[in-house]
Amino acid sequence: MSREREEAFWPTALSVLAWIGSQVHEPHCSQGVRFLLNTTGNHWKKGPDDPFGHDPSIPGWPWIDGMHSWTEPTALAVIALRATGHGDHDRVREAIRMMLDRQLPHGGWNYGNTLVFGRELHPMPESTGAALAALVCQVEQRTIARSIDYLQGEVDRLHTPISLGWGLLGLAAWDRWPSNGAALVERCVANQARYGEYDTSSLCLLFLGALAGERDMKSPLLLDLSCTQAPAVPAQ
Amino acid sequence: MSGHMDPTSRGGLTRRNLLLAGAAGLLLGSGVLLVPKRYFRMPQQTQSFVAKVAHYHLDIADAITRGIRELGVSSEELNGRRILLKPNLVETASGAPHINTHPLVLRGAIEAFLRLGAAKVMVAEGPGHRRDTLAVYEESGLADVLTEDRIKFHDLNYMTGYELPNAGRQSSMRTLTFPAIFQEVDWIVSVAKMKTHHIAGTTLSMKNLFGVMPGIYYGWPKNVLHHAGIENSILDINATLKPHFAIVDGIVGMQGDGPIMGDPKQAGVLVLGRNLAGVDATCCRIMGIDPYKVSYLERADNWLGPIGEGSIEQRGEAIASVRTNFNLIDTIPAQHGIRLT
Repeated sequence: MSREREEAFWPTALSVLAWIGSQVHEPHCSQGVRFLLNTTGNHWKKGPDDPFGHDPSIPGWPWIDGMHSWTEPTALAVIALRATGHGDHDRVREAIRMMLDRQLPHGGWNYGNTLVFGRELHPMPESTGAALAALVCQVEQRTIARSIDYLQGEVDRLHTPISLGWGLLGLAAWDRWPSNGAALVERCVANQARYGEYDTSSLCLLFLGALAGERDMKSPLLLDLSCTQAPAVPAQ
Repeated sequence: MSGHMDPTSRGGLTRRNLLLAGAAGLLLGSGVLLVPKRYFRMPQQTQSFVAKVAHYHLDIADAITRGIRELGVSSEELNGRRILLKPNLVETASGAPHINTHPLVLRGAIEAFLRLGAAKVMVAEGPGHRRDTLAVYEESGLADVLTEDRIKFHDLNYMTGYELPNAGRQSSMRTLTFPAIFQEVDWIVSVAKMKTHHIAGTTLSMKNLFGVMPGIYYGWPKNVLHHAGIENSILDINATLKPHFAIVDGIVGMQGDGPIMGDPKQAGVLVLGRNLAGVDATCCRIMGIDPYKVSYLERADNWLGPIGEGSIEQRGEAIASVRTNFNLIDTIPAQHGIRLT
């Protein structure tokens, strides 16, 4: 990204995650956390003619400043805030409510629309994995069981690093890392012969998904997201 | 004060005329006189080519080659050129290949442009709904085709960009950011799908260009463009990018609740042309839709291209011989009352 496009702030949550544990970057990390806590999307009360199914009034985070909140940037912000000890913040609680509102009736998440003109839209593995990772130990399993079922049914068909990486992280968060997970990761790595070399961030995501199974980690992105921990990174 | 003015010192204009002229100027300038802009536009002319192609295993390359030649594209225009094909890949769903441009149409277009002298053909897309572009590339079947044909695929969603002033000025966006690869190609070809759309009425070659805008700047599903207004954004992107050619896959299109949840509709056609508005107007007529009732096309008329039947010289098949009405959903406002009578 570039300084000229400051409205595209979605990498902030990823930066916060990258800075955790680095003393040198602690001021940047705190600044990132403050930014997330003080930033939201464009929200409004749903009107009778709005054709979509979700509640647009529940705050989350957008990809781009001034836009509506969507599934993945909200999941990333929740993971970053929980990882820095802000899991009890009102913004996180609201965001969890927002993500549950965006869960598809038959399971899974997509970019963030549930129904449009009365038709249920399709789920997507990368959105579902990110949402499941963000929601671990924040909601009862029965509320998201249908989404776990969806992702478990999909994981064997995932050939690409973003979908498989998030898919494995989401399943690992709920103790469902697949028994053939390592083989899936190997197949995905081998697919570079078909697609060309993966970029660094895709490759890192894939290997995080792999490590989530290897180490039997419950938490997303291999961080300890205890529900009650004190802020590890101060927001103010 | 104005009583001191001498009417004759204004070249024979009376003070009253001057005041009226000034008032009219102010009204025009402020847009109070809401005369549609199209009445001030010069009529334009274009051509579109319609090929009957009953199914995807026929010789699509031959149909596209024939169309490009029929449309008067010279060998000088293509010799040694680098061609970027932009398909419509949005998302995938089991049993719904009609969401996306069929990979065999891409293969046909690649073969046709290479046959006509292009030095290089590449395929590039930034899917609107999915962050995992490679997954859409794989699941749509395009990866099989391009791997076999050794054609490079580029993910536009994560590509850094270059800014251009918004030449369309329909939305409040001052600039538009296009992927850097566009600076390295000579032709940009929209290889779209023939679909109805629940917000825009139709999605054809012009709307397909939403996918060129990088997700890293515009979000998923291209939030900034939706916020700026879908119709405004379609016009702004087309006016600024100035694409060179369009091919619309109507062999099997989508009807009803497009662009994702609609039903397949076999129209058995490919529609080609240099002018995207003209191509889309022809597609509309084939689909049994009045292009003047599709708002963004009506606004594009005689600006980005003509949409009037008399302004588009039809090559190949006559529209009447291939027209097949696509189902419209009357309760969806964008599809209400747009049927061609």
